[in-house]
Amino acid sequence: MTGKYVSFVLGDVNYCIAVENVQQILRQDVLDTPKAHPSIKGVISLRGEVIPVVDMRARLGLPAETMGRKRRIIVVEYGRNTYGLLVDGVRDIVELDDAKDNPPASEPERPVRILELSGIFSADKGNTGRMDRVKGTSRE
Amino acid sequence: MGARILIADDLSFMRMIQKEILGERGYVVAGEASDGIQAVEKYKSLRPDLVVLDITMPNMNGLEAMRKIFEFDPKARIIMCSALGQQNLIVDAIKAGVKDFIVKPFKPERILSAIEKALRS
Amino acid sequence: MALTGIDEGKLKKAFLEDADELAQKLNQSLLLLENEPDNRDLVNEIFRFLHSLKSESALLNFNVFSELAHKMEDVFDRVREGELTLEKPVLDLIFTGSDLIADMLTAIARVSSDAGFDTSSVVGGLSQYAASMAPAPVAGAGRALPSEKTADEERPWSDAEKRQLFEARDRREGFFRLTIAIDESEVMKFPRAYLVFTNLEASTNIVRTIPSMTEVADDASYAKTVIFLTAKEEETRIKAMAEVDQISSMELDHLGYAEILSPSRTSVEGGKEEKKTYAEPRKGLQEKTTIRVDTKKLDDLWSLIAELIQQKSHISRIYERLSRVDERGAVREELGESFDSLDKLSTNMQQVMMETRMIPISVIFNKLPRLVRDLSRKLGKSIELAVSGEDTEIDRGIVEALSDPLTHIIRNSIDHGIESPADRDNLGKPEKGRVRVSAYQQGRGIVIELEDDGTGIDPEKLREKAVAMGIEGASELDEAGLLDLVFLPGFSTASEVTDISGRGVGLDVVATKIKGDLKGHVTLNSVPGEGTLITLVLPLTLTIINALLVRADRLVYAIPLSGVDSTGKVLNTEIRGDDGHRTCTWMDEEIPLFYVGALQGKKLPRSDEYYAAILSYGMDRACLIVDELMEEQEIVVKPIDDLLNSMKRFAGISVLEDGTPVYILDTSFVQEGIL
Repeated sequence: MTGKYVSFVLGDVNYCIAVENVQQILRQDVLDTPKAHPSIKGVISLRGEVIPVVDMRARLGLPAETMGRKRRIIVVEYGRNTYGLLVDGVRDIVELDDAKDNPPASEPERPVRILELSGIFSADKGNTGRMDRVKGTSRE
Repeated sequence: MGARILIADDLSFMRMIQKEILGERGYVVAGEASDGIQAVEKYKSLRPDLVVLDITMPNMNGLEAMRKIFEFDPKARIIMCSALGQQNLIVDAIKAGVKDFIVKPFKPERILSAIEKALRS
Repeated sequence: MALTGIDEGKLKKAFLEDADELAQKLNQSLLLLENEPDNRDLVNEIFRFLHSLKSESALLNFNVFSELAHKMEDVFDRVREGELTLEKPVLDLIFTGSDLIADMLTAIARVSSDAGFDTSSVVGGLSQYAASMAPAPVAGAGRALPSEKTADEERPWSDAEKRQLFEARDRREGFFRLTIAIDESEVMKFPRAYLVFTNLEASTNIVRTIPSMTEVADDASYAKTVIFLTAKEEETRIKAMAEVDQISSMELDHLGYAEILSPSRTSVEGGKEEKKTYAEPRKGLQEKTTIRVDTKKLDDLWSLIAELIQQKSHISRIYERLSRVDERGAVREELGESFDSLDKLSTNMQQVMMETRMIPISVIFNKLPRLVRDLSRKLGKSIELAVSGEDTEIDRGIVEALSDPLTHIIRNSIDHGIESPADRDNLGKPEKGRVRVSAYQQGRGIVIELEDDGTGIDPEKLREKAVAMGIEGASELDEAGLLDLVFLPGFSTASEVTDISGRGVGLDVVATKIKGDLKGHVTLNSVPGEGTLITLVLPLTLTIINALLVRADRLVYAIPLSGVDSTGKVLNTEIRGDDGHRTCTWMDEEIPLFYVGALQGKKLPRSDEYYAAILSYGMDRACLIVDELMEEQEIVVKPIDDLLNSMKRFAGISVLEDGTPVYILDTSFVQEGIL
């Protein structure tokens, strides 16, 4: 069984997320919020809804960086709620074989980490061990 | 000892006998009533520790008087006196919350023991 | 059971619409769960369905239905706590329960009653799973019934008695047999036995007596009376309760439930068969004048109306801009007319939509007379209840959340507020205590008042307690401040826990529900010795409010207009204090002062004067400094995600027509004194 994933970059690691969870990908300014949860970068306004944007760098414990031109917001649905994930850049949609440890055919040497939404939004912060399943060769 | 008791019975000699029995034990007869209406009034004004009520009294019977006293003071201690053949009235009294009942004619130990137990509650 | 009041048809309709949908969803989810027994989301969902079914049916006195849903809910509560796994036997029972629910709804639609349904086998069967799986403490611990039995004792236990025992075991009560022998000299043996029975009945649960207390046998047969009962008390206590004069001997035996109760698979099957006779096709369930609408569609309609309202505001602004340019213009006039129509249309639509969600508050108020009567009897108080405003309509979503707080407040009144008739007489008060409950609409909200003429609350006693609890500033609080203390946890004014008011839980639970779930206010006023008045203010509907928009830096905040007293300017010279704590004077009162920018971590900028809004919450006021006072506007309130509300200062979030997010302030901070 293969699945389609949206792959993106954070720092120098490639991640991907199951396409079923992704609503759309935006390039939009993130608006300030009053003091919120530390992982929240801000909000965006989308079709009359205010959507919290998670700073994925902060969530994964990476140092903050100024916004690059390639920064994108991946809008995902988690449970009944909609959130935005702010990432350094979005690459493409890849197909991965669930059963085997397979990097995408186009880049056989590139390791890929699959992010589970439940991991992103779970209570324990910074525990990346539980957040993802590693596929392909790991560079750690 | 020294508890204050209200006696209600329409027959004056019944009240006399009860007064004697109770007095010997050291209880204080705080007051006497000869009908239900008086019983209720005196309960309200004297606030005794216990009432001995006869079931059959004129103007207002013991059962009615008991209900009125309970309305006024849900924690009232009441002992009902009854003659043989008034079982239903006794059962009604028990349903309404009477602490004990004694059947006439009673022996002195009987009424004293009932009062003692009732005061202990 | 029968419904009361003129609203019968309307209430039943509303209930059926909801319940039918819930029952269907329940069934579907159960089927899914059968294949995915570990799916926590499904378990939680099913729990919520059952909870709603239980609550709604209870409100309308469909007690058989409610009891069944309750039992099923208990089972799922344990499942979601991880205390129970759903194995086949339990799941089978649940499915049977779900079928019964569907059948009862059919019956209710036709004849407005759930009577005649025998749910005892499912309820009984589930009881073991709803309780702990550990054996009940007395099971098997007692002695077997002695071989010496009378004819009566040989009689097998009836279903009703078994059910009583089941439930007693659930509640971890002991099972006892009390044998009393009455003095020979007692001439009225039955009344004597009856006296013992009555004493015991007050604090234990009697299952059976031999001879019977209701079908009175001849007097002599009561010389030896046997009473089977269940109780939480210890043996010594039970004996003490049974102690009555003229009893010559008393024996109390501790019995085991296991002999009498055994799980009965067979009766479940029996239940299924009975069910078939009630099975009816689900079509044609409701009267022909209604159609079933997916509530998602209703929600969508709501959202559309909300957007419509925003567009309306937008157009209104365009109109104003146009007026400045084209003062006598025909274009302007046409636009104005069109706008007026749009305004009327949307207001009407809003009205109709709101009405589909509104039901009269009598659903809750109708339960009060019974509650008051039961409590009065139990507590020995004499109460007169006056209810008004039962026709006041409230949002259906509010009803459930409101029921508990209301009954809780009334319990408090009767238990701790109203004095006993004897005490009241001493105080010169009328013998019957008065409890008054009324509801009325005020502006965009509902006000519910609960008043009693009891002892009231003594602020000084509260002060003592507060000081003893180590609450800061307790010694300096004024009367209003002291009275507000009752809404803090730990402030039950009873010195002793009674199960009437529920484990000593105070008004803090009420306050949390009213402020949190219902986004309303609760305040308390009292005159010691004369009585207490508790006032609840609730929003009429949770979705659209009039608000004052204000700005701090680049962020826009909204303050519900009901919480705004006035707006204006404040001079720098009128402000006292520093960053930690500021105040200013308003109407001869010193009130706390806040800067809304603090929510963004900003400090109050230096200036000679500031724009401000005076806010009120209950009896408290505060001054809120802003960078800019924008305007008053109708906004649509949407729930705010927890991630954005970590400080818990916002009641919701909204969006302006240009997409700007608006953070709706929860004005309770006015009372708490911190922003």
